Amino acid sequence: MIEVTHLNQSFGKKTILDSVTIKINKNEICALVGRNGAGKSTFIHSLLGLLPVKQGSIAINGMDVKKKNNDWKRSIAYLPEKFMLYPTLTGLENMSFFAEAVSKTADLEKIEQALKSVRLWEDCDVQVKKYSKGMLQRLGLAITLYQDANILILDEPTSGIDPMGRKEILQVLKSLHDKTILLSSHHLDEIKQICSHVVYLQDGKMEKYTVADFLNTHHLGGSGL
Amino acid sequence: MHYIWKEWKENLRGKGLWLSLSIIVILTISILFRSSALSYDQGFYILLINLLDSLIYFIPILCLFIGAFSIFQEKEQKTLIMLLTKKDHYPSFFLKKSLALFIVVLVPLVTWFFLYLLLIKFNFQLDIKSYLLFILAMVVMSLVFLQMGAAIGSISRSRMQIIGYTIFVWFYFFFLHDFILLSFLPDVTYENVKLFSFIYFLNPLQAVRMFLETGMGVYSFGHMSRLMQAFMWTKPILFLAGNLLIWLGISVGTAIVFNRKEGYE
Repeated sequence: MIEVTHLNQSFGKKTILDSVTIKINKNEICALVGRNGAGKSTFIHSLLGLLPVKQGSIAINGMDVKKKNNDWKRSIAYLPEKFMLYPTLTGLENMSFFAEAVSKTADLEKIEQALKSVRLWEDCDVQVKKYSKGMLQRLGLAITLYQDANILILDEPTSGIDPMGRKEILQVLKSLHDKTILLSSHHLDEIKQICSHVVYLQDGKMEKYTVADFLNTHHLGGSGL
Repeated sequence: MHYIWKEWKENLRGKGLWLSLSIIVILTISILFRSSALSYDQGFYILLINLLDSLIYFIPILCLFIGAFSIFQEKEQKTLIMLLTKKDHYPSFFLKKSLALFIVVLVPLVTWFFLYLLLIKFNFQLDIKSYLLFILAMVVMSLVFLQMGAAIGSISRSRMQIIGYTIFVWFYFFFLHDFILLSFLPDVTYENVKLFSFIYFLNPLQAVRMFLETGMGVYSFGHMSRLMQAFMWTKPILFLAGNLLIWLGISVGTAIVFNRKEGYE
Protein backbone atom coordinates (compact mmCIF):
# COMPACT_ATOMS: atom_id res chain seq x y z
CA MET A 1 0.00 0.00 0.00
CA ILE A 2 1.20 3.51 -0.85
CA GLU A 3 0.02 6.40 1.29
CA VAL A 4 1.03 9.94 0.37
CA THR A 5 -0.01 12.80 2.64
CA HIS A 6 0.29 16.52 1.82
CA LEU A 7 3.38 16.00 -0.32
CA ASN A 8 4.93 19.17 -1.69
CA GLN A 9 7.78 19.27 -4.19
CA SER A 10 9.12 22.34 -5.89
CA PHE A 11 12.14 23.27 -7.97
CA GLY A 12 13.12 26.85 -7.23
CA LYS A 13 9.89 28.87 -7.27
CA LYS A 14 8.03 26.37 -9.43
CA THR A 15 5.67 24.11 -7.52
CA ILE A 16 5.52 20.65 -9.06
CA LEU A 17 3.48 18.78 -6.44
CA ASP A 18 1.07 20.83 -4.37
CA SER A 19 -0.10 19.12 -1.18
CA VAL A 20 -0.67 15.78 -2.90
CA THR A 21 -2.65 13.32 -0.80
CA ILE A 22 -3.37 9.92 -2.28
CA LYS A 23 -3.77 6.31 -1.18
CA ILE A 24 -3.15 3.32 -3.44
CA ASN A 25 -4.54 0.19 -1.84
CA LYS A 26 -3.11 -3.32 -1.73
CA ASN A 27 -3.34 -5.29 -5.01
CA GLU A 28 -4.70 -2.31 -6.92
CA ILE A 29 -3.43 -1.64 -10.45
CA CYS A 30 -3.41 2.10 -10.74
CA ALA A 31 -2.48 4.27 -13.72
CA LEU A 32 -0.57 7.50 -13.17
CA VAL A 33 -1.80 9.93 -15.77
CA GLY A 34 -0.90 13.50 -16.59
CA ARG A 35 0.41 15.67 -19.38
CA ASN A 36 4.13 15.75 -20.20
CA GLY A 37 5.83 17.87 -17.54
CA ALA A 38 2.92 17.54 -15.10
CA GLY A 39 5.23 16.05 -12.46
CA LYS A 40 4.77 12.30 -12.88
CA SER A 41 8.53 11.63 -12.71
CA THR A 42 8.85 13.91 -9.68
CA PHE A 43 6.05 11.96 -7.97
CA ILE A 44 7.66 8.61 -8.82
CA HIS A 45 11.14 9.76 -7.73
CA SER A 46 9.64 10.97 -4.45
CA LEU A 47 8.06 7.54 -3.87
CA LEU A 48 11.41 5.87 -4.56
CA GLY A 49 13.32 8.09 -2.15
CA LEU A 50 15.41 9.56 -4.97
CA LEU A 51 14.09 13.03 -4.20
CA PRO A 52 14.09 14.18 -0.58
CA VAL A 53 10.65 14.61 0.97
CA LYS A 54 10.85 18.00 2.72
CA GLN A 55 7.14 18.61 3.19
CA GLY A 56 4.50 15.95 3.67
CA SER A 57 4.98 12.23 4.10
CA ILE A 58 5.09 9.02 2.10
CA ALA A 59 4.47 5.61 3.62
CA ILE A 60 5.19 2.38 1.74
CA ASN A 61 3.39 -0.52 3.41
CA GLY A 62 3.19 1.63 6.52
CA MET A 63 6.93 2.46 6.54
CA ASP A 64 7.99 6.08 6.27
CA VAL A 65 10.41 6.62 3.33
CA LYS A 66 12.18 9.34 5.32
CA LYS A 67 13.48 6.73 7.77
CA LYS A 68 17.10 5.90 7.24
CA ASN A 69 16.89 2.11 7.68
CA ASN A 70 15.50 1.71 4.14
CA ASP A 71 13.42 -1.36 5.07
CA TRP A 72 10.67 0.04 2.89
CA LYS A 73 12.90 -0.45 -0.19
CA ARG A 74 12.34 -4.22 0.05
CA SER A 75 8.63 -3.71 -0.67
CA ILE A 76 9.13 -1.70 -3.84
CA ALA A 77 10.52 -2.44 -7.31
CA TYR A 78 10.93 0.13 -10.04
CA LEU A 79 11.22 -0.13 -13.79
CA PRO A 80 12.26 3.16 -15.38
CA GLU A 81 11.21 4.44 -18.78
CA LYS A 82 13.53 3.75 -21.74
CA PHE A 83 16.00 1.67 -19.77
CA MET A 84 18.68 -0.30 -21.62
CA LEU A 85 20.25 -2.56 -18.96
CA TYR A 86 23.77 -3.83 -19.83
CA PRO A 87 23.69 -4.38 -23.62
CA THR A 88 26.78 -6.59 -23.88
CA LEU A 89 25.60 -8.96 -21.16
CA THR A 90 23.08 -11.71 -21.86
CA GLY A 91 19.59 -11.67 -20.41
CA LEU A 92 20.62 -14.24 -17.82
CA GLU A 93 23.77 -12.29 -16.84
CA ASN A 94 21.71 -9.11 -16.42
CA MET A 95 19.23 -11.00 -14.26
CA SER A 96 22.01 -12.54 -12.17
CA PHE A 97 23.70 -9.18 -11.61
CA PHE A 98 20.53 -7.51 -10.37
CA ALA A 99 19.67 -10.61 -8.32
CA GLU A 100 23.05 -10.37 -6.57
CA ALA A 101 22.59 -6.64 -6.10
CA VAL A 102 19.33 -7.31 -4.23
CA SER A 103 20.37 -10.38 -2.24
CA LYS A 104 23.93 -11.57 -1.78
CA THR A 105 23.55 -14.66 -3.96
CA ALA A 106 21.49 -15.20 -7.07
CA ASP A 107 18.83 -17.90 -6.76
CA LEU A 108 19.02 -19.62 -10.15
CA GLU A 109 15.69 -21.39 -9.77
CA LYS A 110 13.98 -18.11 -9.03
CA ILE A 111 15.72 -16.47 -11.98
CA GLU A 112 14.51 -19.26 -14.26
CA GLN A 113 10.99 -18.88 -12.89
CA ALA A 114 11.02 -15.09 -13.44
CA LEU A 115 12.36 -15.45 -16.99
CA LYS A 116 9.80 -18.15 -17.81
CA SER A 117 6.98 -15.96 -16.48
CA VAL A 118 7.86 -13.32 -19.10
CA ARG A 119 8.59 -16.01 -21.76
CA LEU A 120 12.28 -15.15 -22.11
CA TRP A 121 13.88 -18.34 -20.83
CA GLU A 122 14.67 -19.60 -24.36
CA ASP A 123 16.47 -16.33 -25.18
CA CYS A 124 18.27 -15.90 -21.87
CA ASP A 125 21.71 -16.60 -23.37
CA VAL A 126 21.36 -13.92 -26.05
CA GLN A 127 23.11 -10.57 -25.52
CA VAL A 128 20.60 -7.88 -24.56
CA LYS A 129 21.71 -5.63 -27.43
CA LYS A 130 20.11 -8.20 -29.77
CA TYR A 131 16.76 -8.08 -27.94
CA SER A 132 13.75 -6.29 -29.41
CA LYS A 133 12.24 -3.45 -27.35
CA GLY A 134 9.45 -5.73 -26.19
CA MET A 135 11.90 -8.42 -25.08
CA LEU A 136 13.98 -5.83 -23.23
CA GLN A 137 10.89 -4.55 -21.45
CA ARG A 138 9.92 -8.11 -20.49
CA LEU A 139 13.44 -8.69 -19.14
CA GLY A 140 13.05 -5.53 -17.06
CA LEU A 141 9.78 -6.92 -15.73
CA ALA A 142 11.50 -10.21 -14.89
CA ILE A 143 14.13 -8.28 -12.91
CA THR A 144 11.42 -6.49 -10.93
CA LEU A 145 9.51 -9.76 -10.39
CA TYR A 146 12.64 -11.48 -9.05
CA GLN A 147 12.85 -8.89 -6.27
CA ASP A 148 9.67 -10.24 -4.63
CA ALA A 149 8.47 -6.71 -4.00
CA ASN A 150 4.75 -6.38 -3.54
CA ILE A 151 4.65 -2.88 -5.01
CA LEU A 152 5.73 -2.35 -8.62
CA ILE A 153 6.25 1.13 -10.05
CA LEU A 154 6.47 1.05 -13.82
CA ASP A 155 7.30 4.14 -15.84
CA GLU A 156 5.60 3.85 -19.25
CA PRO A 157 6.19 0.11 -19.56
CA THR A 158 4.80 -0.11 -23.10
CA SER A 159 6.34 3.07 -24.51
CA GLY A 160 7.76 2.61 -28.02
CA ILE A 161 6.75 -1.05 -28.27
CA ASP A 162 4.87 -2.61 -31.20
CA PRO A 163 1.26 -3.84 -30.64
CA MET A 164 2.29 -7.49 -30.21
CA GLY A 165 4.97 -6.57 -27.68
CA ARG A 166 2.48 -4.38 -25.80
CA LYS A 167 -0.02 -7.20 -25.70
CA GLU A 168 2.58 -9.53 -24.20
CA ILE A 169 3.57 -7.05 -21.51
CA LEU A 170 -0.04 -6.32 -20.61
CA GLN A 171 -0.68 -10.06 -20.32
CA VAL A 172 2.21 -10.38 -17.86
CA LEU A 173 0.93 -7.41 -15.83
CA LYS A 174 -2.61 -8.81 -15.80
CA SER A 175 -1.32 -12.07 -14.37
CA LEU A 176 0.20 -10.36 -11.31
CA HIS A 177 -2.77 -10.63 -8.97
CA ASP A 178 -0.82 -10.29 -5.73
CA LYS A 179 0.97 -7.02 -6.56
CA THR A 180 0.14 -3.38 -6.10
CA ILE A 181 1.07 -1.70 -9.38
CA LEU A 182 1.44 1.98 -10.19
CA LEU A 183 2.15 2.52 -13.86
CA SER A 184 2.46 5.75 -15.74
CA SER A 185 0.87 5.59 -19.17
CA HIS A 186 -0.43 7.69 -22.03
CA HIS A 187 -2.52 4.88 -23.52
CA LEU A 188 -6.17 4.81 -22.55
CA ASP A 189 -6.75 1.40 -24.11
CA GLU A 190 -4.17 -0.26 -21.88
CA ILE A 191 -5.47 1.61 -18.82
CA LYS A 192 -8.95 0.28 -19.63
CA GLN A 193 -7.58 -3.24 -20.06
CA ILE A 194 -5.59 -3.67 -16.89
CA CYS A 195 -6.15 -0.84 -14.40
CA SER A 196 -8.80 -0.53 -11.73
CA HIS A 197 -8.01 3.08 -10.84
CA VAL A 198 -6.41 6.23 -12.24
CA VAL A 199 -4.52 8.92 -10.37
CA TYR A 200 -4.59 12.09 -12.42
CA LEU A 201 -1.97 14.78 -11.95
CA GLN A 202 -2.74 18.29 -13.12
CA ASP A 203 -1.31 21.66 -12.00
CA GLY A 204 0.43 20.01 -9.06
CA LYS A 205 -2.79 18.50 -7.72
CA MET A 206 -3.58 14.80 -7.76
CA GLU A 207 -6.95 13.09 -7.79
CA LYS A 208 -7.90 9.43 -7.76
CA TYR A 209 -10.74 7.97 -9.83
CA THR A 210 -12.02 4.59 -10.89
CA VAL A 211 -11.27 4.08 -14.58
CA ALA A 212 -14.94 4.55 -15.55
CA ASP A 213 -15.25 7.76 -13.51
CA PHE A 214 -12.03 9.10 -14.99
CA LEU A 215 -13.25 8.52 -18.55
CA ASN A 216 -16.60 10.15 -17.82
CA THR A 217 -15.17 13.14 -15.93
CA HIS A 218 -12.65 13.94 -18.62
CA HIS A 219 -14.89 13.01 -21.57
CA LEU A 220 -12.28 10.64 -22.99
CA GLY A 221 -13.43 8.15 -25.55
CA GLY A 222 -10.31 7.72 -27.70
CA SER A 223 -7.28 5.56 -27.15
CA GLY A 224 -4.60 8.16 -26.39
CA LEU A 225 -4.20 10.92 -23.83
CA MET B 1 32.41 -9.27 -6.32
CA HIS B 2 29.41 -9.26 -8.68
CA TYR B 3 30.28 -5.70 -9.72
CA ILE B 4 33.81 -6.80 -10.67
CA TRP B 5 32.50 -9.78 -12.62
CA LYS B 6 29.90 -7.67 -14.43
CA GLU B 7 32.42 -4.91 -15.24
CA TRP B 8 34.91 -7.49 -16.47
CA LYS B 9 32.42 -9.11 -18.87
CA GLU B 10 31.16 -5.74 -20.10
CA ASN B 11 34.66 -4.46 -20.86
CA LEU B 12 35.82 -7.72 -22.36
CA ARG B 13 32.94 -7.62 -24.84
CA GLY B 14 33.06 -3.86 -25.41
CA LYS B 15 35.49 -1.82 -27.48
CA GLY B 16 36.70 0.95 -25.14
CA LEU B 17 39.17 -1.03 -23.06
CA TRP B 18 40.62 -2.92 -26.04
CA LEU B 19 41.04 0.30 -27.99
CA SER B 20 42.86 1.95 -25.08
CA LEU B 21 45.02 -1.09 -24.49
CA SER B 22 45.92 -1.36 -28.17
CA ILE B 23 47.05 2.30 -28.15
CA ILE B 24 49.36 1.51 -25.22
CA VAL B 25 50.62 -1.71 -26.86
CA ILE B 26 51.38 0.00 -30.19
CA LEU B 27 53.05 2.93 -28.42
CA THR B 28 55.26 0.80 -26.18
CA ILE B 29 56.31 -1.50 -29.04
CA SER B 30 57.16 1.45 -31.28
CA ILE B 31 59.31 2.93 -28.49
CA LEU B 32 61.07 -0.42 -28.12
CA PHE B 33 61.85 -0.47 -31.84
CA ARG B 34 63.14 3.12 -31.69
CA SER B 35 65.39 2.16 -28.76
CA SER B 36 67.10 -0.71 -30.54
CA ALA B 37 70.19 1.42 -31.16
CA LEU B 38 70.72 2.05 -27.43
CA SER B 39 73.55 0.30 -25.55
CA TYR B 40 72.84 -3.10 -23.95
CA ASP B 41 73.86 -2.11 -20.39
CA GLN B 42 72.47 1.47 -20.11
CA GLY B 43 69.66 1.42 -22.70
CA PHE B 44 67.13 -0.07 -20.28
CA TYR B 45 66.97 3.12 -18.16
CA ILE B 46 66.68 5.36 -21.23
CA LEU B 47 63.89 3.13 -22.51
CA LEU B 48 61.98 3.45 -19.21
CA ILE B 49 62.31 7.25 -19.22
CA ASN B 50 61.14 7.33 -22.86
CA LEU B 51 58.19 5.12 -21.95
CA LEU B 52 57.29 7.40 -19.06
CA ASP B 53 57.54 10.49 -21.28
CA SER B 54 55.14 8.96 -23.81
CA LEU B 55 52.70 7.13 -21.52
CA ILE B 56 52.31 10.21 -19.33
CA TYR B 57 50.40 11.74 -22.27
CA PHE B 58 48.18 8.75 -22.99
CA ILE B 59 47.39 6.96 -19.74
CA PRO B 60 45.77 9.98 -18.01
CA ILE B 61 43.41 10.84 -20.85
CA LEU B 62 42.48 7.21 -21.52
CA CYS B 63 41.81 6.57 -17.84
CA LEU B 64 39.78 9.78 -17.53
CA PHE B 65 37.56 8.74 -20.45
CA ILE B 66 37.21 5.11 -19.35
CA GLY B 67 36.28 6.16 -15.79
CA ALA B 68 33.88 8.89 -16.87
CA PHE B 69 32.00 6.90 -19.50
CA SER B 70 31.79 3.85 -17.30
CA ILE B 71 29.85 5.77 -14.64
CA PHE B 72 27.86 7.79 -17.15
CA GLN B 73 26.68 4.67 -18.96
CA GLU B 74 25.06 3.46 -15.74
CA LYS B 75 22.98 6.64 -15.82
CA GLU B 76 22.25 6.43 -19.52
CA GLN B 77 21.20 2.79 -19.36
CA LYS B 78 19.06 3.60 -16.27
CA THR B 79 20.76 0.78 -14.39
CA LEU B 80 21.98 3.25 -11.75
CA ILE B 81 18.46 4.29 -10.83
CA MET B 82 17.35 0.63 -10.72
CA LEU B 83 20.19 -0.18 -8.34
CA LEU B 84 19.59 2.86 -6.14
CA THR B 85 15.93 2.05 -5.65
CA LYS B 86 16.97 -1.24 -4.07
CA LYS B 87 19.72 -1.76 -1.50
CA ASP B 88 22.47 0.51 -2.81
CA HIS B 89 23.16 4.10 -1.81
CA TYR B 90 25.12 6.27 -4.19
CA PRO B 91 28.34 6.15 -2.11
CA SER B 92 28.29 2.36 -1.93
CA PHE B 93 27.49 2.07 -5.65
CA PHE B 94 30.31 4.48 -6.50
CA LEU B 95 32.89 2.70 -4.38
CA LYS B 96 31.98 -0.77 -5.70
CA LYS B 97 31.98 0.49 -9.26
CA SER B 98 35.35 2.24 -8.79
CA LEU B 99 36.92 -0.89 -7.34
CA ALA B 100 35.61 -2.97 -10.26
CA LEU B 101 36.93 -0.37 -12.70
CA PHE B 102 40.41 -0.39 -11.12
CA ILE B 103 40.66 -4.15 -11.41
CA VAL B 104 39.32 -4.33 -14.95
CA VAL B 105 41.71 -1.67 -16.24
CA LEU B 106 44.81 -2.51 -14.21
CA VAL B 107 44.87 -6.29 -14.71
CA PRO B 108 45.29 -6.12 -18.53
CA LEU B 109 47.64 -3.11 -18.24
CA VAL B 110 49.96 -4.76 -15.72
CA THR B 111 49.79 -8.05 -17.65
CA TRP B 112 50.92 -6.21 -20.77
CA PHE B 113 53.82 -4.60 -18.90
CA PHE B 114 55.03 -8.04 -17.77
CA LEU B 115 54.76 -9.40 -21.32
CA TYR B 116 56.65 -6.32 -22.49
CA LEU B 117 59.43 -7.18 -20.08
CA LEU B 118 59.99 -10.40 -22.06
CA LEU B 119 60.47 -8.34 -25.22
CA ILE B 120 62.90 -5.94 -23.48
CA LYS B 121 64.91 -8.88 -22.20
CA PHE B 122 66.31 -9.60 -25.68
CA ASN B 123 67.67 -6.06 -26.16
CA PHE B 124 68.82 -4.78 -22.76
CA GLN B 125 70.31 -5.76 -19.44
CA LEU B 126 67.33 -5.77 -17.08
CA ASP B 127 67.01 -4.07 -13.72
CA ILE B 128 63.92 -5.73 -12.24
CA LYS B 129 63.68 -3.32 -9.29
CA SER B 130 63.54 -0.30 -11.60
CA TYR B 131 60.98 -2.02 -13.79
CA LEU B 132 58.74 -2.78 -10.81
CA LEU B 133 59.01 0.88 -9.77
CA PHE B 134 57.99 1.84 -13.30
CA ILE B 135 54.93 -0.45 -13.11
CA LEU B 136 54.04 0.96 -9.68
CA ALA B 137 54.28 4.51 -11.05
CA MET B 138 51.98 3.59 -13.96
CA VAL B 139 49.51 1.88 -11.62
CA VAL B 140 49.34 4.91 -9.31
CA MET B 141 48.89 7.28 -12.26
CA SER B 142 46.12 5.06 -13.66
CA LEU B 143 44.36 4.85 -10.28
CA VAL B 144 44.38 8.63 -9.79
CA PHE B 145 43.05 9.40 -13.27
CA LEU B 146 40.51 6.56 -13.28
CA GLN B 147 39.06 7.90 -10.04
CA MET B 148 39.04 11.45 -11.39
CA GLY B 149 37.30 10.13 -14.51
CA ALA B 150 34.72 8.33 -12.39
CA ALA B 151 34.06 11.60 -10.55
CA ILE B 152 33.61 13.41 -13.88
CA GLY B 153 31.12 10.73 -15.00
CA SER B 154 29.33 11.14 -11.71
CA ILE B 155 28.81 14.89 -11.93
CA SER B 156 28.12 15.09 -15.68
CA ARG B 157 24.70 15.25 -17.25
CA SER B 158 25.72 14.68 -20.86
CA ARG B 159 28.50 13.21 -23.02
CA MET B 160 29.50 16.74 -24.07
CA GLN B 161 30.03 17.69 -20.43
CA ILE B 162 32.23 14.63 -19.97
CA ILE B 163 34.39 15.60 -22.93
CA GLY B 164 34.65 19.19 -21.68
CA TYR B 165 35.56 18.29 -18.08
CA THR B 166 38.01 15.58 -19.19
CA ILE B 167 39.90 17.83 -21.56
CA PHE B 168 40.03 20.54 -18.90
CA VAL B 169 41.46 18.18 -16.25
CA TRP B 170 44.03 16.80 -18.68
CA PHE B 171 45.01 20.30 -19.83
CA TYR B 172 45.23 21.50 -16.22
CA PHE B 173 47.70 18.82 -15.14
CA PHE B 174 49.79 19.09 -18.30
CA PHE B 175 50.08 22.83 -18.71
CA LEU B 176 48.02 25.00 -16.40
CA HIS B 177 49.29 23.69 -13.06
CA ASP B 178 52.94 24.31 -13.94
CA PHE B 179 52.08 27.56 -15.67
CA ILE B 180 50.33 28.93 -12.57
CA LEU B 181 53.23 27.86 -10.33
CA LEU B 182 55.69 29.48 -12.71
CA SER B 183 54.09 32.85 -12.05
CA PHE B 184 54.70 32.38 -8.28
CA LEU B 185 58.32 31.27 -8.74
CA PRO B 186 59.91 34.72 -8.04
CA ASP B 187 58.19 34.80 -4.63
CA VAL B 188 59.48 31.41 -3.48
CA THR B 189 61.80 31.71 -0.47
CA TYR B 190 63.37 29.27 1.94
CA GLU B 191 60.47 29.96 4.35
CA ASN B 192 57.64 29.14 1.94
CA VAL B 193 59.33 26.59 -0.32
CA LYS B 194 57.64 23.67 1.48
CA LEU B 195 54.22 25.02 0.61
CA PHE B 196 55.36 25.57 -2.96
CA SER B 197 56.72 22.02 -3.11
CA PHE B 198 53.47 20.60 -1.68
CA ILE B 199 51.44 22.32 -4.40
CA TYR B 200 53.98 21.38 -7.08
CA PHE B 201 53.84 17.69 -6.17
CA LEU B 202 50.05 17.80 -5.92
CA ASN B 203 50.27 17.32 -9.65
CA PRO B 204 50.29 13.51 -10.04
CA LEU B 205 52.38 13.75 -13.20
CA GLN B 206 55.19 15.53 -11.33
CA ALA B 207 55.00 13.16 -8.37
CA VAL B 208 55.15 10.12 -10.67
CA ARG B 209 58.12 11.52 -12.60
CA MET B 210 60.08 12.40 -9.46
CA PHE B 211 59.32 8.99 -7.91
CA LEU B 212 60.49 7.07 -10.96
CA GLU B 213 63.55 9.18 -11.77
CA THR B 214 64.86 9.07 -8.20
CA GLY B 215 63.94 5.38 -7.84
CA MET B 216 66.01 4.52 -10.92
CA GLY B 217 68.87 6.71 -9.76
CA VAL B 218 68.57 8.99 -12.79
CA TYR B 219 67.95 12.02 -10.58
CA SER B 220 70.32 12.41 -7.65
CA PHE B 221 69.67 14.17 -4.33
CA GLY B 222 73.41 14.83 -3.78
CA HIS B 223 74.97 18.32 -3.93
CA MET B 224 71.67 20.20 -3.69
CA SER B 225 71.29 23.77 -2.50
CA ARG B 226 69.55 24.39 0.84
CA LEU B 227 66.53 25.66 -1.02
CA MET B 228 66.33 22.49 -3.13
CA GLN B 229 66.81 20.36 -0.03
CA ALA B 230 63.88 22.14 1.60
CA PHE B 231 61.90 21.70 -1.64
CA MET B 232 62.41 17.92 -1.43
CA TRP B 233 61.26 17.86 2.22
CA THR B 234 60.09 14.25 2.10
CA LYS B 235 60.76 11.05 0.14
CA PRO B 236 59.40 10.87 -3.43
CA ILE B 237 57.40 7.76 -2.55
CA LEU B 238 55.61 9.74 0.15
CA PHE B 239 54.82 12.49 -2.36
CA LEU B 240 53.40 9.80 -4.61
CA ALA B 241 51.42 8.08 -1.83
CA GLY B 242 50.12 11.43 -0.58
CA ASN B 243 49.11 12.34 -4.09
CA LEU B 244 47.21 9.08 -4.49
CA LEU B 245 45.36 9.51 -1.20
CA ILE B 246 44.56 13.19 -1.71
CA TRP B 247 43.24 12.78 -5.25
CA LEU B 248 41.29 9.61 -4.47
CA GLY B 249 39.72 11.43 -1.52
CA ILE B 250 38.90 14.58 -3.50
CA SER B 251 37.50 12.58 -6.43
CA VAL B 252 35.33 10.31 -4.26
CA GLY B 253 34.10 13.29 -2.22
CA THR B 254 33.25 15.31 -5.34
CA ALA B 255 31.51 12.34 -6.96
CA ILE B 256 29.35 11.70 -3.91
CA VAL B 257 28.49 15.30 -3.05
CA PHE B 258 27.84 16.56 -6.59
CA ASN B 259 26.52 13.39 -8.22
CA ARG B 260 23.64 13.72 -10.65
CA LYS B 261 21.60 10.55 -10.80
CA GLU B 262 19.52 11.75 -13.72
CA GLY B 263 18.59 14.93 -15.50
CA TYR B 264 15.91 16.03 -13.07
CA GLU B 265 18.09 17.98 -10.66
